[in-house]
Amino acid sequence: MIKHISPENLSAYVDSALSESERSKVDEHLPVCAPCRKQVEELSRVAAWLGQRPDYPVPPFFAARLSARLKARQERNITSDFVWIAKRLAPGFAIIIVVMLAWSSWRSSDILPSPEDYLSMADSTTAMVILAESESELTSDEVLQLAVFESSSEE
Amino acid sequence: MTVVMSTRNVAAGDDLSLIEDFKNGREAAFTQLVEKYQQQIFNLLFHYTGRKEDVEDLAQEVFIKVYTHLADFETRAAFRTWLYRIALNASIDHSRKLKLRRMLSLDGLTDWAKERLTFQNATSSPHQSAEQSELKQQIQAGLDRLPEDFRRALVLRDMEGLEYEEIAEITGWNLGTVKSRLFRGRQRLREFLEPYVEEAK
Repeated sequence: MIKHISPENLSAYVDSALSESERSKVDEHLPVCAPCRKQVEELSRVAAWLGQRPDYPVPPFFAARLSARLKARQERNITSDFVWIAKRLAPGFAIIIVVMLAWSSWRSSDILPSPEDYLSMADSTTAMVILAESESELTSDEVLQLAVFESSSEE
Repeated sequence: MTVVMSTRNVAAGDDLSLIEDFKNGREAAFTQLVEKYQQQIFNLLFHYTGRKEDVEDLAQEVFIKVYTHLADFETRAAFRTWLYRIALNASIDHSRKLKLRRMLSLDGLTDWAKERLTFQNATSSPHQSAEQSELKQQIQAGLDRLPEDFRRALVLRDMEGLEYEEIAEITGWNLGTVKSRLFRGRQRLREFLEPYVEEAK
């Protein structure tokens, strides 16, 4: 009884992918074995059909369009890098601003107003109360309350 | 296939010098690499997925991935193998997504049923439908039905013309597995295309 060649080897024979010794075994076997010959024929037909597929048409300017897209992407990345850095630096800036504000308020609390300052402030407040009272229909107490509120919010 | 045949034997040294140029900041070197391999990659993506409408997006995705990782590419390996591996993985992912979508949607089921019907009609009257375009469609339909491992083997060997060693490197299979998957894939496809095989005799 003839010892057949394994179908895997017949398939590799079609691809000329067998070693020298394996290939010569198949070469000797095929002339005397119709089923193996048929197998080789069918496998090579399928392989040939697959190999006949035409090239897929590459769309025009594919490479150029791709590099344009990559360039745009890179520019976007640079912008996002900037945003990234800005985000990382933001807390630092916030701390610096807070420190500066605290320092400036500490400095201003050092310089206390003189009695003359109080007098001129009191004078202008009285004048404003009289003016406001005459121009609106509020009572002097209400005007004063408003003035106090106003000056406290100014501070 | 002519382009594939002519570029297949181009020395890999060209790729390495282009990659070096790219690493040194010459962007045009990347475009040259794309131009060199775009035909092979479009073929692979189309042959594997069988989806004209998705091929260009997939190709862009593949080359963008290449661009992003090219700086880390180890020049000891062959660029082509690496590129094919990326393209093949993209194809496999895409096919899985499509399959899932088809399974989840009723429309997909109807499309699938229509395809089956076309195939059955073709098998019932092989003499009338043995034209080349019909055969092409059936080959694609047959490939789509194959288990992924077999399809991978057939696309890389029979359609892209790669050697067994290169297929082993791309897929991570050993040579014995490449050999057996090729045989079994061809066998399955042969069964699927039975009427045409008979016709050709």
